[in-house]
Amino acid sequence: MSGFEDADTEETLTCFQVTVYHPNQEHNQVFQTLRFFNRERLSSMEVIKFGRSPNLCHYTFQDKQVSRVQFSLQPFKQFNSSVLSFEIKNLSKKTSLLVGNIELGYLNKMDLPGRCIVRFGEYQFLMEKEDGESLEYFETRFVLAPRSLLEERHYGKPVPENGFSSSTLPTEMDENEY
Amino acid sequence: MERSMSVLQIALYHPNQDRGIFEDIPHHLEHDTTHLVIGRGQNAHLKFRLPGVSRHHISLEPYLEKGNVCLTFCLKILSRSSSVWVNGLTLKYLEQVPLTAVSKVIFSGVQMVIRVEGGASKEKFACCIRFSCSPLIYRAKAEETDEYEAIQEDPEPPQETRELN
Repeated sequence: MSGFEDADTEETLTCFQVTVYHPNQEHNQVFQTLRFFNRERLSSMEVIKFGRSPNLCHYTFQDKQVSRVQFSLQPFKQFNSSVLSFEIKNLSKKTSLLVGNIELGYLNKMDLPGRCIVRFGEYQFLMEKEDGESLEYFETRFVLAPRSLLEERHYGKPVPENGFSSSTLPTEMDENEY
Repeated sequence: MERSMSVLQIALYHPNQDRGIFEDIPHHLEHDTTHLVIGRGQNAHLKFRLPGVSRHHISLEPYLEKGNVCLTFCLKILSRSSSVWVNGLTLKYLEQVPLTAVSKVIFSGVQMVIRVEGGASKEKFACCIRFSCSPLIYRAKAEETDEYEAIQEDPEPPQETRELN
């Protein structure tokens, strides 16, 4: 018990969750090297690269159409902030990277919003950050989406079976409006 | 036809540099578009023999601003224990700023002036390093002031600043 009482206070880690989707993900097994739902702890000093090459990248895709190094995520700290932020950088000479509606060319980078969809080719990634206290480490977690992230127009709001969301139909109508 | 490289003209000074602090630093190096690490560690690209310098102290990251053709460089602090003074700002762990045309940097007693010369290459850039015999940067120290006076960092050094040509 004395070990527990005397130990340094643990800080919570920023969790960076990436929900991935590719239309051929089941047939081509492009995500077979990703360990879904596993939380991996990474140093904030690392540059996290995504691409085809296992020698150069931390996370790889089994797809020859993916560049050896496609893009990277880089943690940093903004001035007057106490939590980690992330930058995303396009490292592909062939393919643009779409961050929301912003297109990044080779070596372009930008701050990553707390929640956004990143795309290149047919790949889609919903990137979501949940802030933690630690500046030393953060963790990543991958989730496989069963359908296109672009179909979930409200980024995760469930779509009713009849195809209409409650926000598009009035709940009451005056009979004179027919 | 090979495109011209961006060049970082780097001038270094330390009051005890005659003790071999800069011994492992080359006068010229070329680097790809990955981060250039400055520090004491074995895998640092600019290696300082100075105990007060962290193994990974600073990184210089080349990138392209949208619409620009020449590389821009982002200076990031990797040292957990030391702050770094850059053009009047004191930066701490994981904070970063883009380099300006001429950037003045102080860390662990080392003075570093970086002048960026743009080039069209997106594959690599070069560093030309020179070692100055005299101080490069004058930074006014805070003196005792009236309590109502704000103490400000001087972003532009006064006339006494000496820089290499």
